Amino acid sequence: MMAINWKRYERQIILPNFGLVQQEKLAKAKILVVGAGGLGCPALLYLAAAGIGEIGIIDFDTVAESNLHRQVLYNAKDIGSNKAIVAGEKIALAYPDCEVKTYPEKLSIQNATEIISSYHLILDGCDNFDTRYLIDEVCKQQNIPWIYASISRFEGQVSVFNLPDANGIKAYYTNLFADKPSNESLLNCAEAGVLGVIPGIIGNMQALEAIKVIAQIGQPLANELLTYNGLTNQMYKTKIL
Amino acid sequence: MTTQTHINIHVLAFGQIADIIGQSTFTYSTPNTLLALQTKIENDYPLLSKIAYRIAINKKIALENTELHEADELALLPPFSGG
Repeated sequence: MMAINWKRYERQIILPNFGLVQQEKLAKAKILVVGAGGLGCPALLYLAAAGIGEIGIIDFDTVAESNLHRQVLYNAKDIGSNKAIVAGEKIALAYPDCEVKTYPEKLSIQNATEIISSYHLILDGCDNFDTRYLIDEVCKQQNIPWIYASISRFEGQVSVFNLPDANGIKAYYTNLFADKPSNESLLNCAEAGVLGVIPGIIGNMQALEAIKVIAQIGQPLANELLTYNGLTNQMYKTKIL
Repeated sequence: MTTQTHINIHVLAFGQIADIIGQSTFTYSTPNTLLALQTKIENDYPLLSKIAYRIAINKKIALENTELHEADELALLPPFSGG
């Protein structure tokens, strides 16, 4: 049995559907967060706070002033520094129980299999289709579930891919969108704009899905796509397969 | 000669598709197959044919051409890309 810091995690251990067994599962879990941006920052904070044992952070990008309204791990002094390194330092300082590994590089065909296969679960906080299709492909090959999310202005999508649903059916991102859209056909946050709190909400939904998958509680969004609209507070959920 | 049946369906438009159509929920009169609906709606809103999207019928992604029924709920779901 692992030594769990009871005081730190007491309020979630006493939950009726949670307990020491689930807390130990979190402590043994290794999660890779791809992209330490608008989705990655809140997900990282809440995963580390919940007691995830090991977190990997991969991001090649550097902090810019226009990131600060939504990428809440960073401040003005971090501008110009690599996001994975800065996020890793802050998470390690705030949550000493969590082992943090940082990869200040781009997830690529060359490094994806080696990096992804070191983790139990992948959380996709990226902002481009090349990376998303690469995560989908490598997670399928390595049989690793992954938590998808993405933002379009006031809306967010969330799903859990490569995890069997109640009927044993696993969906992949390619079941939803078989062909990679060109990045030009869709607007990213830089062009479309984004209200900072929207990735805050959606990144936290990803963290919750990750905790549910690791602790084996509730019904994760396996084979389902959830869309949240922040302006209307409407949620729409559809089966994928 | 066969006459195609027209029905009214409820449409939910997400992301960029709501921008293209100009509203996120509306009732739409359409012939009663998915292919005919796509042809009609892309004719009404030509920008739709330039982006990828999937259609869910009554909260399940439609895999192929299928018959539509009066009062079906259709969701037009584009991929999102922001992170």
